[in-house]
Formats: sequence, structure tokens, C-alpha cells
Amino acid sequence: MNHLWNLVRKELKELLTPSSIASILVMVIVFMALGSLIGSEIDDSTDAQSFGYVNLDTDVSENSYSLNAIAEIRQYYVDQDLDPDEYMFEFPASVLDSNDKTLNAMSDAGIDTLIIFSDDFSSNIASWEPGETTVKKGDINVIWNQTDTGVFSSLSTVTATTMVALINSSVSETLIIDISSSPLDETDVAYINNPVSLVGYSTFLNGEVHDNVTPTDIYSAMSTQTMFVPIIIMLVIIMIGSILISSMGNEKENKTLETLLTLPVKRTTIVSGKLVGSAIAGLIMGALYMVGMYFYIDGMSGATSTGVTMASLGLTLSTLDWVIVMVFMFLAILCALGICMILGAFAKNYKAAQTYIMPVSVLAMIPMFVTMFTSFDALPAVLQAAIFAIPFSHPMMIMQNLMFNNTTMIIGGLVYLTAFAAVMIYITVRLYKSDILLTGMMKKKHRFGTLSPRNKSE
Amino acid sequence: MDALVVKDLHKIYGEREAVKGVNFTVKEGEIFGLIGPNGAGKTTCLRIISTLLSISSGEIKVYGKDVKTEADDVRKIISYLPEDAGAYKDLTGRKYLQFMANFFTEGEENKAMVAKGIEIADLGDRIDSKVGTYSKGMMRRLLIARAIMPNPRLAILDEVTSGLDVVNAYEIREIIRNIAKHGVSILISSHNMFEVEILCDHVAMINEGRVVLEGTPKELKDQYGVNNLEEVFVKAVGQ
Repeated sequence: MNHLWNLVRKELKELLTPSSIASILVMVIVFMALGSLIGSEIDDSTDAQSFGYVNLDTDVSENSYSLNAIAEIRQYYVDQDLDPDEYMFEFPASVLDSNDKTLNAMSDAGIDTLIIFSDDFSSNIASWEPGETTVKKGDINVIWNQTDTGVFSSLSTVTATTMVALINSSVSETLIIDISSSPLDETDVAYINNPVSLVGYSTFLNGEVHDNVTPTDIYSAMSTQTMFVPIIIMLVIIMIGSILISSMGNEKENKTLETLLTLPVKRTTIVSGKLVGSAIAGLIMGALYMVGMYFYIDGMSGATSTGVTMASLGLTLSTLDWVIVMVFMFLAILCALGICMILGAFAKNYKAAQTYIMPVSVLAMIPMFVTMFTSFDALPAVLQAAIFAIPFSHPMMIMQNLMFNNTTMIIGGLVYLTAFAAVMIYITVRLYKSDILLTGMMKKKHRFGTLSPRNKSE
Repeated sequence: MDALVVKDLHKIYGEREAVKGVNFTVKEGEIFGLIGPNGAGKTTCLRIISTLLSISSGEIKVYGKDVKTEADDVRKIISYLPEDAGAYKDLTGRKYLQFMANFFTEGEENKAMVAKGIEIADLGDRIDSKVGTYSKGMMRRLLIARAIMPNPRLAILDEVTSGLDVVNAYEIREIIRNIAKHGVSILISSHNMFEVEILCDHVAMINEGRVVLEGTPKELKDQYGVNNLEEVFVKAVGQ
């Protein structure tokens, strides 16, 4: 037993090092933060949703089916201990004068669902009588404004469906009461069950209106891109970072790095060689994944049950856009490699180097989850700043930013990534000129200075 | 001209002073041995001379070139072989020598340098095998060939026969003697006193970051009236 305990203690000491424990703690904190973020998104999705309506119904009497239905919906909110005035917004008919007016009104009110009662809503229903074969229903139109492409972006479709169902049930109940003494056939029952008809719907996306398209259709068309692109980018970054950091650990362990550093070659050349070589390898990996994705998306977009494709939504990337995507990928890979080279400088051997990949993995996972479950615009300012500061967020968001013409984020991301990569390369070169690369430890401040270049002639 | 002059060299890591005012001089064409126990500061001295570590204070000149201010020039005339060094395992011995030769020469000179490396390594057909398949002795021969083929003026070899069997160690020492005959100055470090005694023209004994003795092996043995450097060292440190 003593022998066993002896061995167990040795294993634990080797496995539970301060750096490995720190890595796990960081992961725990990250997952807690992500859990909280995703939880709040789920809470938002399960909360009662707000919506707007325009009542064009010419019947404003107490028998108006539209007014009764609106009263029914108000009661629906009251029954949930909610103030209907905070969730239901009535708009005048003038907001329908133009798409711009509609979009502005919805944006100003902060709603993404607008329900429109037709002018003949009540009269159509009132004209129905049992036994009629040709019937007119109460017509409703729905307009959505989609500002988000995350998992919960299709929620507004559910809101509209729920409201239309409530309106239907309200009218249905009234009809049942009105004709309770009359004999009914199957057609009558069918009508009474569905006296309201959703005759048209459209969705504002990227400022443009798409008829007969719901947010759910859009989410379905985009889900491949929103779900898989961040995963691919995360994989590429972790993979190439891991390869580089392990290679640095190997070079240190085999002392091939020491040999390289004593050759008549400038340190900047050695650093550049490592970075550029690894970045090209990373870019090739990324490009191969992207090509696969391109065909995958292409295939998927034609296979959606609704027939809504990214192309039909105008969400396509031009050749220039793809070039920009690759530039973002390359810069993000450079940033990752820069971070890895800095971390690798402190690793004494291959084993230590492998644990140092954890911070890069965490930095790649955070924006991946965020872009999968929500969108940058939906985040609070502090989280937006944090996500923007993580260089790997930008290639994950670039395709959407290009599709949605989000110029500020594209230029901001490009400038930030370039600056970040430059700073990483500068720090790496400084490290390669310092003792840390070989000693693997930060010198305490003493009269000879810290991180000073070894040789003035470099 | 002196090949290497080390003056009052200090190296401080944080609170710890690893090298405490080391002085020694290597003459041109000489095999100079830096000897001492593990942790004495030998490797730190060699790494500083090789421009790998910074100088905390003091001065080092290699053929008149200042290590601190003319590091690029120093690297052109030295060659450093770290203790237990390896090579890129996926390359063959020939490709490894080619890779290294590309940093020094081009064209015909490059071919001649690789040919020289292959000759020094003397690995036969195995020169075209992957480095990962080499034994420790073969690896050392390859690395010595790498270090010598660019014709350095000063070769710095750290624990060059450490971990080798008798035959391999003997062969490596022969290679070193042969190199010295061609005018290359050699600085080797070792904790193997026997090896240093039979190989070196001049030795400096280092202990706890200080040079405690310096001279030819014969001078040192005569000074202490003993038969080998091991006894010299024990007596010198004991005093």
C-alpha cells in the first residue's frame, strides 16, 4: 500500500502542477461565464415576448373581432402578471407607408414582430354563415425585423405564431357562442376552428424586406455558417497553435533552438521564419476547411425545406469578400502564433509547452460560443469590448459582418488584428533576444535590467 | 592573437549569481578545457560566450570581437555544440547538414561544406537515414560534423562525450584532436577530468562560479604533487 501511495503521490505531483491547475480553473471560470451568458439568452427566450400591431380593421364597434382579439391578448399578458402596455405596442397605419417607416418604427420601439389586421378583418368573418361553401377569413400579415442570427434569432417567429393562435382562438370562441344554436356541418366546424388566416408575412433583414420569409427560415439558411465557421476557426487556431508551441518545446528539449540561435542569422529572421512557416501551414489548413465549408454551405442552402437560401436572401460573398475572410484568418493565425511563441518561450520542455496551449484554446472557445448562441450586437457593452479584444472573434464574425455590410466592425477588426499581430511579433522578437528563451523564467528586476536585448548589434 | 579572452565575467539570475568573476584566455589553435562539477557554471559561461545569454558584467572577446556589442560578428566565427543536443529527427543526416550549411554558403562552397560535414561524421550509408533512427554516438558525430564543417575559428563544445560509450568517446576525442591540428581553437567543458587531462593543452577548474585553478594539466599535477586532475581538483576545492 505504501508503494501504491508513493506512486500515486508521484503521479499527482506530475499531473497537478500549478500551471495545469491554473488552466483548469481558467476553463471553469470561462464555462461559468458562458453558462451565465447562454442562461440569460435562454431566459430572454422563455420570457413573454413583446410585439407591435397595426389595426386596419374598419370595424371599430364593440363587436369588432380584431378589437376583441386584441383585448384577449392583453388578458393573456395580465394572466401572466405582466403589464400589457409594456409588451404590446399599437402603431398607426402610417407606419406601413414605406418599408423605411415600418423598419424605423419597429427599431425605435425595440420590437421585431409586427402584426397587421387587414381592413376587412371583421367584415370577412362577420359575413360568414353556417352552411356557406365560399368563405372569407380574417386576414393577418406579419412583418419581422431580424437583427440577430444566433440560435435564438428565430424566436420572433414563435412570438408571431403564438399571437396569431391567440387571435384565432379569440375569434373562434366568439363564433362558437354566436352560432351555438345552429346546426353545423364539417366545413362550418373547420371555419370556426380557423377563422383567421395568416395571408402574408415578410422579414426585414439587413434593411431589406424579404416576402414570405420568416426569421426561422433565415436562421435555418444561416445556421450552417453561424454554427460551423466558428468551430472550424477555433479548431484551426488550436491545432496550429498546438503544433507551434509543441515544436518550440521540442526545439528547447532537443536544444536545436540553442544551435539555431548561435548561427550567423538574425533573431528577427528566426522568429519570422517560424511565424511565417506556421502561418502558411495554418492558412492552408484554414483554406482547406473553408473550401470544404463552401461546398457544404452550397449544398445545404439548396436543401432547406422552405426553399430559402442564403443566396435568395442576398447573403452571398463576392470574391473580394472571400479574400477579406482569408486575410482575417491569416491575421488571426498570426496573432495565435504570436501568443504561442510568447508562451512557448517560457516552456522548458515539450511537456510544459503542451499545457501552455490552454490560454489560446480558451481565447478561441469564448468567441466561438458567443457567436454560436448570440450575436455581437446583442451583447452588453462590457462583453462587446471583451469579445472585440479577443483577436479570434474577428474571423468568426467576419462572414456575417461582410454579409450585413457592417463596415465599422470590418475595418475595426482589420486594424485591431493587424496591430495585435504586430505587437505579438514585437514581443516575440524581444523575447528571442533575451535570456528568457533559454532560462524559461522572468528575471527579477536588478541593476542589469529586464528583457534587455543580449547584444547591441542585433 | 588570443582566440578567446574572458575578463571578470559575472552572470546573475534574479537573486542567484551563477558566475562570479571568471577570467581565462584561450590561445589560437589550443584545446582549452573548462572543468568542474555539475552546476559549477561551465555551461552558463559557454552559453554567454556563444551569445546565447547576456553578460551581467565583465567582458568577452572572441578574436578581438566583443560578444556584447558585436554578437553578429562573433556568431560568424564560432560554432557551439550544446550538451545533449539533438537534431531535427525527420531529416536525414545529409539533409540536416545541408540545412545547416545553407546558413553559411551557397553554390559550390555549399556543396563542399556538406561534403566535409559528411566526411567528418563518417556515418557511411546511414548519413541518408533519418536522424530519429541514430544512436547517441551517431548523433554526436553528426552534430560535431555540423559544428566543424563551417570552419569556425573557435569551436565551443559542451560535455561533448557525455553519455557515450568508450569507443564512441574515443572516436569523438580523435575528431577533436584532428580539428585542432587544422588550426581551430577549441573550448570544451567537461566534468570528466580524465578526458580533459588527455585532450586539453590548457585547463581552467571552475567551482561555484569561480575559476579556482588554471594551467596545463602537467603544471597543475606538479603543483599539487598528484597523478591526475581529479586529485588536483579535490585538493584545490578542499583548500
